[in-house]
Amino acid sequence: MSEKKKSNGHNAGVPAEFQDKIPADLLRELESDSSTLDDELTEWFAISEYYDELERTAKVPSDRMFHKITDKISEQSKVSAFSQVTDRISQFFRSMWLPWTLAFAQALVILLLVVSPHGVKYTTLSSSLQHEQAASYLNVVFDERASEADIRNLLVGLGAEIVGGPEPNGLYIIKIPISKSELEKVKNKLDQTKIVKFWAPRY
Amino acid sequence: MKGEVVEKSLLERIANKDEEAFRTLYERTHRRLYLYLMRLSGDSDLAEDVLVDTFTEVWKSAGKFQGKSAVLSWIIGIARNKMLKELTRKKVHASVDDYPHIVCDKQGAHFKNLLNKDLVSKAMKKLSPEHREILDLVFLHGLDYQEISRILGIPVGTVKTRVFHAKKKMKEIISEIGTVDHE
Repeated sequence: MSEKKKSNGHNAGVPAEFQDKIPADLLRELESDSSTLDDELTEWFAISEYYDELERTAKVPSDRMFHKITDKISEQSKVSAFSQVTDRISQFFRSMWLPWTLAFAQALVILLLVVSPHGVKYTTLSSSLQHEQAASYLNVVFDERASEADIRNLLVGLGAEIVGGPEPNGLYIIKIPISKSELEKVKNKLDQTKIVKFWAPRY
Repeated sequence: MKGEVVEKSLLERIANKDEEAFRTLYERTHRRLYLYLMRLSGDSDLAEDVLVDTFTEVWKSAGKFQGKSAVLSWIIGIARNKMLKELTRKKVHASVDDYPHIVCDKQGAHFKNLLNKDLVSKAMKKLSPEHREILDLVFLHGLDYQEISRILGIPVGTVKTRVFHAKKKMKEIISEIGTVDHE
């Protein structure tokens, strides 16, 4: 209750127990028109009484609601703790995305260089000679009188190709698709033909 | 120690996760808050759910309370917003039959001009939701007009007018009921 009210005595009709309950602005308005004070107070008390009674008599599931609240809070704090962990992990990965992307790209390039994909014909760093057909290289000198057709027939018959030469001394290097251990198979043919003056394995 | 000071102190402790303070604040406020929510929705289950959500929010956000309003107004504001969202979502409309009501004592104290608890209780049921809510905020929670203005988001002048009209309407209803009862 304000000093003003105490001094002017307009609130004399307001019982002490209600003085704190009535808003100050309403009391001020009542002061300005004291003729309505009695009716207003009667009405005010009646409504207050109604609410007091309502609060006293209404059934409120207090304990059940409090348990629900505490359950919900502990549930949320568990979820919150879990989400904090996942947030940290995702944050870590987000901060590392550039280095990880570069590392992945490098790993991919290395993988492609090292591993030769199936069916691809280009040669990779890892491509080994074992995958190629075995071949032998021979130094050959043809007879000067041999025609181009004779030489071609011989080479085709052997499955060979010229890979080097001619050199000033008439030496050619030919490649035959057989291993060195199999050279015996062609030896006779090379020895017997008249268009080959000289031949020897190239080491 | 005045109520508001106590509640502010409790809220500060709740911000530091003091469970005892939380229980105390709950005990001080939950009954009136539950009744208010009941009267807004007319649905006891919904009122209970919203109250649970409200206090969970209070626990979580106590540290964010800036003291611009009274603690009680802040809590009522949270509860009211949650309830209005739920009502909008569910499109639920309160039925007057679901409101908590007083078991009236017919021999109870009578007031002048036939204003007794029985008549007030009956009149309350006939008031519009807007008028009932404004009277709830004034009488049930004991909030001043400034606080009510913050909660409802309307000017203080509108609060005063609404309180005036709510009481006027209640008087009219009481007058009607009183006449019928006497007949």
